[in-house]
Amino acid sequence: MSAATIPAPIEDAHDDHDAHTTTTGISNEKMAMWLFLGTECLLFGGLISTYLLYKNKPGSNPDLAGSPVKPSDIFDIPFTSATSFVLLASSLTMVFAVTEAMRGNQQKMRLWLVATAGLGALFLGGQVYEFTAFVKEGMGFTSNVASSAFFTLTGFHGAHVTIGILMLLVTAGLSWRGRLPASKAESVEIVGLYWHFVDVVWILIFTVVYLMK
Amino acid sequence: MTDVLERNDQIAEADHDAHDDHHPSNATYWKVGLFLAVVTALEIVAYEMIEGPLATAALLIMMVVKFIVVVGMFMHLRFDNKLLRNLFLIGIFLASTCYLGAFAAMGHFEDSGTNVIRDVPADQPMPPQPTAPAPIIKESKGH
Repeated sequence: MSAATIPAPIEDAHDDHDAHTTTTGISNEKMAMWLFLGTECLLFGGLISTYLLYKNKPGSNPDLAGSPVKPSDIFDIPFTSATSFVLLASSLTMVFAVTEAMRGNQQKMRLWLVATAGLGALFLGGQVYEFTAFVKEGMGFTSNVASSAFFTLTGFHGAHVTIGILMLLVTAGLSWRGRLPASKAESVEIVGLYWHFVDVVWILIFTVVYLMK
Repeated sequence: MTDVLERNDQIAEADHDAHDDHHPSNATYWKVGLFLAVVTALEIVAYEMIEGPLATAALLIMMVVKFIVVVGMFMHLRFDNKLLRNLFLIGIFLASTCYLGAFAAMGHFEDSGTNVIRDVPADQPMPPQPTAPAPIIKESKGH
């Protein structure tokens, strides 16, 4: 083997080797994603807490002028329940994508990834529809403190779903171009962790914001 | 070059096979998905049928169950290294402590009587504002 042909594969080999020989036994990428998700708990915790503090205050305080319409007055629970089922289903398709990635079945993995992205897009479409309906009902982002807290919380979650969809499509695209070999299957698992976290946050939002009176 | 790549893939496959040993089968995932769907349906039933603190308690319990199932099964935290579980739990613990403290500091758990943090709902009349006590007029001596 000539010296000129050696460097690239050896570097690849070292990358994979490093990924499995950390002192913790966990790859740095996976550890970083879990750390990131831990910090995301603080972000969404703050947003949920803010909503809980202000959800019953629209228009009742003369110092805080605004529309008296509370978010909970105009929630469409059947519609939101349907979108919640869609997001839950996307978590199921995501685990199938991870399973196929572990098995090295790239084609099925891509199918499940695209299905997950599609379900995520459907959820996002539902959220856009819901926001539009709320604005038509007279509850905009700046209508009162409760609506601001509500739109900030659910908007941040929607932004996370959007980023997740982009990650899923990029992963599927990389696989389609042959740049996601079996040795990189953990990348799919890491994208899956992010996606499941987005689902977990919605589980909290759906109960605490929409269902708890 | 090819040998190195093949060896890498073999190592990766061996690792993934070992990893697969801890992972549930697709049938289990279907069951978990069905379970989550049923719990979500029960949440909606609880929202429609039950009122008061019982509804809140039921909804919170079901939320925690769904949270644990998704994190444990779908995110594989149940089968993964305990260090990862601890990292995530630290985040949850910090968030819970920090925001419960903020709630307490802002009087969320008590009715302070102010209309800034814990004010009355919009459909109820505002409580009467406290009136200043009548001034005490001291009688001067000699009259």
